[in-house]
Amino acid sequence: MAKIYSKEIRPKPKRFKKVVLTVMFFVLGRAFVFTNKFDSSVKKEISEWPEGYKIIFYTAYHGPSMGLIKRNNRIIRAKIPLDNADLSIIFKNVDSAFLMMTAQMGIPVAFAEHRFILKGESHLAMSLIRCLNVVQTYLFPRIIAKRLIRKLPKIPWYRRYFYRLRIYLLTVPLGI
Amino acid sequence: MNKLPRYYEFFNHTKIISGYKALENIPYELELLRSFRPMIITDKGVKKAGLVNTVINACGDSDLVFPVVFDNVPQDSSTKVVSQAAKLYREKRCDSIIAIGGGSVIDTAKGTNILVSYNSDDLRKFMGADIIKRPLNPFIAIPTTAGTGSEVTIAAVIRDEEKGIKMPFTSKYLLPNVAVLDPRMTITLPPHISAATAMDALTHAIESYICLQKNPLSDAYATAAIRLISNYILKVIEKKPSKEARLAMANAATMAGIAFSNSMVGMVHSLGHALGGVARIPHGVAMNIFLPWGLKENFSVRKEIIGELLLPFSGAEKYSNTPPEKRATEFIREIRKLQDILYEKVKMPRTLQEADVDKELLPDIAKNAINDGSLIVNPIDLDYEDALRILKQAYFNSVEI
Repeated sequence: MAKIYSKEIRPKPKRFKKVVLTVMFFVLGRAFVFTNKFDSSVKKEISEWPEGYKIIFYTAYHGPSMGLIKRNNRIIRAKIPLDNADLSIIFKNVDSAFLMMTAQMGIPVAFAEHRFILKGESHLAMSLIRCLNVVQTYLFPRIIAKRLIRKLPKIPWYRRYFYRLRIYLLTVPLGI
Repeated sequence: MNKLPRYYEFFNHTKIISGYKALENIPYELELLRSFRPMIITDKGVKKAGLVNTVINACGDSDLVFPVVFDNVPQDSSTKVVSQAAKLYREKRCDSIIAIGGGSVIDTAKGTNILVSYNSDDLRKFMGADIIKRPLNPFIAIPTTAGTGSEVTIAAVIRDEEKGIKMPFTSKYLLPNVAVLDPRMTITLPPHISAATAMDALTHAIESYICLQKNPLSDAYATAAIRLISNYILKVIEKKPSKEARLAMANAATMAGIAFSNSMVGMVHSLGHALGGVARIPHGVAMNIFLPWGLKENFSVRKEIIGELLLPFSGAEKYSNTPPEKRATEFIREIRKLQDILYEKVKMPRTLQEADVDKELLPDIAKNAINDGSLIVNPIDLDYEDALRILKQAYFNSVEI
């Protein structure tokens, strides 16, 4: 008679992807906050959000997350509990979040492929996506941004290059 | 050539019973669901047209009891109405819901079912995707218009009266257990409403086929729906449409509903939702106005896919006689021809001007359109200037090809 093994099998945690995700959320968060300070289109979008509006990007289950909150007409990064957010972008798993946060997949494709779900007051989701389009345009070279964004925001090349350098040299490491 | 998507999801568990004497099977279907005291949710127009009595009479000689008929559903479902319906459901000790009506009635029934199944009074807690995590109480949907497809969609939209926003709910558990398609239920539809709802269903099918979430299964439903609509739309707007035509359109709307429930809709709906919200233009009329514009705008990135629709819409002969590079243009031209016929027969507006839309409202409509969630899976993105440009063009002109 064949021997039956009754030992529980637990899938291994995806530590590397979680570390990368934590870093990418940090970069995106700081870049978002900074872009809100100088880009007029992002400023205009944020001005229409209600004061205190809370957004969380969350990776199931108990994975890395990033919170944004509007205070004094500006976006700041903050720790927000999942249940406390007005709008939650919940990635169904680490790999889905990894695909999107490492610029392998844009938001429309990620949504079409059910990689994340929107929970809560989603009427501002399109406004958030427009802001993220601008942030990604500053963060990534045109060749990558074109794959992620259906219609690139009209930003002059010298402005993109200048702020990209600024973001990677000062904003991400120093938060300024 | 249609490629298999890298990843897709498809879900539909609603049992569809369609055709002659379909209503008579409701007691049997409810018995399978162990329900005997269904609450009827409907609106005053449907009740006045005698359709509620048709359903009740069809259930004669069974163990069913109808404790209450809730006919208070307005044109746009709201949290207040859902709370009223849920309160009545509990008071009358109902054990299931039968929705008889169009999209608003079925959405109200979905909202009511959330509250009574979760024994809750706060619908806001369930807003968003996949918040509802378990099966709800038995629910049968009987559409009385052939357009919205709500009887087979996982979504409901209910207006939050306090905040003045539309709350979206999506969950597989919102799907009715059974959808009943019976030609008796669309008998009272006047020709212009039949035309508008048919264009709504056609837009569901076309947008689900061309948008980013398309998949082989939703494509199959979409093309089947387009074929039926193309064959029957002119028959269903006659003064006395045949049962066959009415049933075909009901089936087409359901198929289109299954398609777009699994692959969503795009910019035609974004513009249409905004036009409905700002200028109070009926949804089907808005779809008729914007459908060719949606096709034209997406033409640059979806030419081949749009061209494929010439086959279900115009038939094999036309498709094979049209060179592949001209099929997309020809399809849009065929849609335009259909619009002209509908205008001639039932005065269905083809432009915003024909729909008596105030030109001053266009900036507001554009602003709302770019904030509509349907835009997320549209092949091309629209900014405010794009939306306003399309609206200005759609004001006076039909699409020129």
